[in-house]
Amino acid sequence: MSILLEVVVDAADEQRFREFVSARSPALMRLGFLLTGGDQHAAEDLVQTALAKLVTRWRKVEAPEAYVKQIMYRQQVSRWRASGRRGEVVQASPPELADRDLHHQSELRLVLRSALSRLTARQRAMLVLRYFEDLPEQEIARVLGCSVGTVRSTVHRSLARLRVIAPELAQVMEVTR
Amino acid sequence: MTRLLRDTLEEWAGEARVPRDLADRALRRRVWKPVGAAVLVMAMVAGIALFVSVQRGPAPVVLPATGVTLPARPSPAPTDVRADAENSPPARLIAAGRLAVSAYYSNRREALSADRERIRRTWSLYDPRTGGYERTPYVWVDVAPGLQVAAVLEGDLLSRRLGVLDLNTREVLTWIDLEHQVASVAWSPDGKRILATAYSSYPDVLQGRGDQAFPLGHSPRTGYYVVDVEGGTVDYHELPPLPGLESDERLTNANGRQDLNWSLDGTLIWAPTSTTPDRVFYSLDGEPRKAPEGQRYPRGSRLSAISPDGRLALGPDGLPTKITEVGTGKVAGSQRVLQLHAWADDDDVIALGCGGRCEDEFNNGLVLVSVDGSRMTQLSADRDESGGWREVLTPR
Repeated sequence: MSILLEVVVDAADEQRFREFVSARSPALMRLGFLLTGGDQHAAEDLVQTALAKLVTRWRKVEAPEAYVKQIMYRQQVSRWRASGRRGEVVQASPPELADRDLHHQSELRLVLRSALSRLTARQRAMLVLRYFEDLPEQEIARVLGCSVGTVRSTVHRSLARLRVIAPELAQVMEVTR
Repeated sequence: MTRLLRDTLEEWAGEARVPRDLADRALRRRVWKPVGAAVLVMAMVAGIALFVSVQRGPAPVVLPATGVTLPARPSPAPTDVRADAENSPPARLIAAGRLAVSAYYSNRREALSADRERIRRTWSLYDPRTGGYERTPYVWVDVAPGLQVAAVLEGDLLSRRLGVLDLNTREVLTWIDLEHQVASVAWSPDGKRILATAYSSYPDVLQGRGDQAFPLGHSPRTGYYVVDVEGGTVDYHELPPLPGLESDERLTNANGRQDLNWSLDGTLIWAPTSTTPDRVFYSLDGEPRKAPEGQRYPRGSRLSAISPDGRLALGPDGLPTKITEVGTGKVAGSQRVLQLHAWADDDDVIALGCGGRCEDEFNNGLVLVSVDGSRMTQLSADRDESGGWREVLTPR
């Protein structure tokens, strides 16, 4: 009996796994980066943990990218919920808000970015799935294991929360909605 | 708003850096996940190559031992279902049908240096006097079919002293002194012989620390003993490990621990690989043998994948899992569990069920599930990756 072992893949499997990771790492890291609110180290950890789980199922999983992403969504949401963290991320260079021109799009995006990083992991995950991954509400409900109604209300509340965190966005958000 | 949100997310995501070694990290991490994971549980590990040029000693070394009479197995053996879903690790016997959790172990890691770790096990053994489990000081234990005696290894990391412990009286019936150091023991299916795997150094040493710890890539295994307990004979055979991680051989094993175990009928022994097929077979003298026909095993397990009546076979890991008809290969039923471990009877299987809502395979517990998946009984409490204990299933 042993705790050790279980490289479940053989050499050919490993090669295919490496090819998959090589091809899809950029997309997975981009997703991980957003889910963790712009935390590079947390994103790497999230991606590599999900990939490690994929290895254990490599031969059985038909859509590896969807499988990895689902693990990432769920893990991120559950991990942060469990630890009680609220998604506050220390920004290396906080957006300088004093003299910004709110009508300047790049400034707006920085403000929004800062606000996104202050959402809860669940709120942010909903917005990332809806507006970055472009998933329909039904699909989001499936991958996060909740109802469509929950998705709808969480997205709504998350957008409202952004406006509270960054009131300066409210006007633009109303106009461009 | 949504336009701004989409643009912002797109731009922000572009700042993510992509490490070049993600695949390596995942593969390395995976190697050690089973420490707390679904995958192993009762796996019997060892490893060896069919094609290794086996260097053997001139002749088996036979050390005299004193034969002892082993207590009789109960007949008929009990088959009731015993669960302990409240305690993790279990405080009361877990059993179902023809099998029981005869022992369990937990692991702890010790730092050896800045970049090396060692894994130690703490073994707890079924105690018929209390109906629970008792923590032991032994390096390794294995309970014989029938739950009357256990083979135990005395020592610190490796052992030169093999005991046969009477579970009911808690007395050691005999001690057998060994010339070579061993790190595991396994009872033959008939409960008469003990297979002990020898190593030149402690096999559970890892390179790296914490989550980034992984096997050294080669094994210090040197051979094995076959002990006939009642006959009082102790035979030693050399048997080097399988080629390791760097080898181009078809069958390899990167793990230090490559414990040997018995085939289902006790006529052969096998060593685990970390590839496919998951094991290679040898005669009791250490000569390579073909895989015996008609025998099927869950990956890494010493128990049969085929039901006692010979009709059905356990499928690979889920979720969900499947059980197929041996004759036709038709699916007889699927089950919402992570792994199928062993047959409790012709209709029920001891399996690894999901903890929580199946969102994390490393959160799991033992269940008894029916072939059609409609009945499921919780046998043990759920355990997560950190609070892991691993059970050993033994025929009652």
